[in-house]
Formats: sequence, structure tokens, C-alpha cells
Amino acid sequence: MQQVVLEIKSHFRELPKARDFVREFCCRNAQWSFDEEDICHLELAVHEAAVNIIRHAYANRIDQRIVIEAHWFDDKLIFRLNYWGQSFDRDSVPPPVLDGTAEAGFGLHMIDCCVDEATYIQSEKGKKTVCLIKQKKTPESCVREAEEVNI
Amino acid sequence: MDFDMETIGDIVVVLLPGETLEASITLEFKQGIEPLLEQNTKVVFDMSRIRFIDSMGCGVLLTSFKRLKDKGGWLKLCCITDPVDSIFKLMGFDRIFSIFENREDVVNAFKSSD
Repeated sequence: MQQVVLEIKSHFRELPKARDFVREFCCRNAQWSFDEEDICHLELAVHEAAVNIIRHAYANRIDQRIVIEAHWFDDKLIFRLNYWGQSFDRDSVPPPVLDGTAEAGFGLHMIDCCVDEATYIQSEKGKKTVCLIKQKKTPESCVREAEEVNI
Repeated sequence: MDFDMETIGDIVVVLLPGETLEASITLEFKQGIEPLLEQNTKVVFDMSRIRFIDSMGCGVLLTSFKRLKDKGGWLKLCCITDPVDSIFKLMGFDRIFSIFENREDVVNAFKSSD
């Protein structure tokens, strides 16, 4: 397993650092065959998770910590965003309205669309974690994707 | 926030500035675009420079879209980059916005709907 860590402040201006971190980590492990679209989706998922932490967990305070860990396993890639603000109940958030009448409330849905699994964890010592998991592409999944595009 | 604009008849084409439309600039974007939405009814956003958009960026586009629609106007988008196109398709926003390949196509579409 490989692991890399980035710490940023809870400020929107720090978000490009988080996206660059994701991109560099994915590109460093090119053997995983993530394409440009996969990398864009991972960048967006981590970005959206960090935005939620800044806006809701830290109530827009700009001097708080967000520690982002990236882990490579044999079968998956995991980004963990650790923070120490207000806890978050995923089930309390209603599903997004995507018919053009709503102007907000898309962030969590974007995360769900961009990764294979998103979980929200609270530890005993006040640390909270957003865990984003992307499964490794296999030759079979690549063929399946190509077939779906051709349908 | 400054916008490069081109007026073609009663259509205003706005080149969205910067490479991102995201949380850090949406407030500034809203304030900058407000007078333009107030004064016009037919608006095109040229998104050729935008390489990254997040949920709040999509939100300000939808706000602009609704604002113009509510007063009988239209917002159309053109010159979408691949990363933005991917996000729109992921979220289904490609079915909400009228998206055109280039400025000429979108201006012609406005004219034909008159």
C-alpha cells in the first residue's frame, strides 16, 4: 500500500491544492489506467467533500485543519478527508432536485456519482472522516464500459 | 469580476473569465453577472475557458438560467470543455441547458426562435 498526506486550511482558496494533490497521486500511479475523466471525477469528489467540510462542519471558518490522505491498495484507491468540526449525518440530507428548478444541493450527489463509495465516519476523539473509494479498473470493467458507450 | 462581452443584435455573448467556476468565486460571479441579467433577456455564456466546475458553479449557472427564464428570456451555453461536459452529463444538466458547439450556432438558434 502507498500513502501520501496533504494538509490544507479550511479556506476555499486552498481547494486547488487538494485537486492538484489528487491529480498528482493518480498520475504517479499510471499503471492503474485511470483516464482523464476518472481523474477529473476524483478531483471533483475530493473538492466537493472539502467544500462541505468548510461550509458545514467548520461553518466557513478559514483557519481549521483538513488532512487529506491518499491510499493505494491492490484493488482500490481511497481518499480520506479528516476534520475536527461539526459532525454530519448523511441520511439527513434530502436527495437533490435535478430538474432545473433547484439551484443548490448537488454536492453530495456529485460525490456519489464520482466515486464507487462514499462513507462518513466519526471517531471517539472528535475526528471525523469522509472516506471516498474508487475501485481499480480491470480489463473486464474496461470492456464493459466500452460496450456501454457503444450501446 | 470583469466580463468580456459581445453584443449581436439583442443577444449578449459573455465570455466567462478564469479557468474555474467554483466555490471560491461564485459570490463574486453572482455580483458581477447580476447587472447583465437585469438588463438583458437573451444571454449566451461562452464557457471555452472553464476547465473545472463544481456544485456551486453549476448552481450559479442554474440561477442565471432561471432568472432569465422567469422574465421570458433564455440562457444558452456554448464552447463547453470536455471536463465540464463530463460533469454536466454526470449530473444530467446537459438535459437542462441548451448547449451549443460554438458562438455562431447558438446565435443562430436564438434568431430562429424569435
